[in-house]
Amino acid sequence: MSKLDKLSNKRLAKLIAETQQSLNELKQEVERREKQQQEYELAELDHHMENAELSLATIRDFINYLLEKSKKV
Amino acid sequence: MSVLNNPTHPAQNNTQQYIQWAMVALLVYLLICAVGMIGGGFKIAAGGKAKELFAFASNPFAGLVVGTVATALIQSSSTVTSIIVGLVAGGLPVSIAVPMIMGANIGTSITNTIVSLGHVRAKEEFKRAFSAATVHDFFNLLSVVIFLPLEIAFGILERMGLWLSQLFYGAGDASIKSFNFVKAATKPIVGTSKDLAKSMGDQLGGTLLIVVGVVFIFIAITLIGRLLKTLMVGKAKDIMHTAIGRGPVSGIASGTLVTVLVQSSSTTTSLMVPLAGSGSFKLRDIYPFTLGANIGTCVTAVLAATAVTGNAQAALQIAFIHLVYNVLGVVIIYGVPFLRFMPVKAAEKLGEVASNNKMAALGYILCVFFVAPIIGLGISSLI
Repeated sequence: MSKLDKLSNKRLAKLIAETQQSLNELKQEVERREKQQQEYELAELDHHMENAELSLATIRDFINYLLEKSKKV
Repeated sequence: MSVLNNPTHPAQNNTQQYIQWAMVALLVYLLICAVGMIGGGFKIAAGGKAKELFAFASNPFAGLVVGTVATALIQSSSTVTSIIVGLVAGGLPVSIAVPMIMGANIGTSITNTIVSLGHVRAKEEFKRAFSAATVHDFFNLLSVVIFLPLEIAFGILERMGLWLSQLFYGAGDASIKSFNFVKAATKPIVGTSKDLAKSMGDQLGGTLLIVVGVVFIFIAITLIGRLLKTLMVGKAKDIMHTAIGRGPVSGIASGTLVTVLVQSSSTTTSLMVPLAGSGSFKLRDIYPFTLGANIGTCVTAVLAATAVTGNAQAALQIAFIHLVYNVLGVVIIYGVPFLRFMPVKAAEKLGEVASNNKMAALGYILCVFFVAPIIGLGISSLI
């Protein structure tokens, strides 16, 4: 950073532009990956739909988990 | 099952789908008949004393608790609101039914909260899943906090519902009274069952008719939900694909549409739990879908209310009150920046607490859906 004061204004402006562009590219890549991941999850919607019902097994499993944890303490 | 192992011919698939759609139509018919039966049964049993019978719920907090606990136990707000529509048609005053409708909204959010408990073994996943589930609870609680006092003071929902119902029951020739095919189609079943109930004596026959109506509504809504889940999963997928990254209005519209298609807000909100739990969708991404689910679920009661006999306009009024309440809830809470993310922040905080201490999750469910309503009921009865 100490070298910054030796750089010309033109060079600094160029560095800012390059950094901005890299930042935009990185943001776009993150957004692309997030959207891809969301689409992948939506492709599994049939499976999620099956699990979207209340089941006693969920409650039983949760209670068992709490009991296991309480025994460990 | 792989395609190779499934020798079902496309024509067979089509036939199967036609049969399933025919069953949906038949079940909708059963649902409408059942609501009519409840209305008829209540009118016979109460004999003009409906108000006195529900005097215990004339306290708005009592009505709220009845709606919350009944829905939490039955696990279906559509069932509870359809029963309420039937009771209003049979003489239950609309003012008593309004807090019950609000309670049904709170009670229905227990389903996705319990679904989120399935993620308990992975801490971060559970935190996200529990937040995704409870954002619906917080939204519905905030909605009650805003609208219940307004309703008690000014009766705004009752007035808006009345105005909307008057559009359909106006004096003009085009009113619902003039040509109601659904009512005509359900008359043979509802009329016969009422005659049968009367022959058993007003008290016994009327009560039996209510019980049969409640059972039929429960069966119809459960089976319609199951069939539509199978039939509509592809459509739901397409709708949600389209909504990704298109902003909150698109999310709300998609949530509404998916809920109308599957006829269950619990299904839509429970679908959001694994999507958020996996980390693919942020809480703010799924929040608009959840709000849309609240609006979409009103269709069942409106549909049932179009064909009831007895106090039919009041039945349509309470169905519209449910719709207006949920639409206004979304418009006000999502529309006012200060309120918009209040449910999200509360749900995030609760998710964090519950992921660190799982007993807090259990305590929260028991407290919000059962203990707090009963304590509230006790206190309000003393005032």
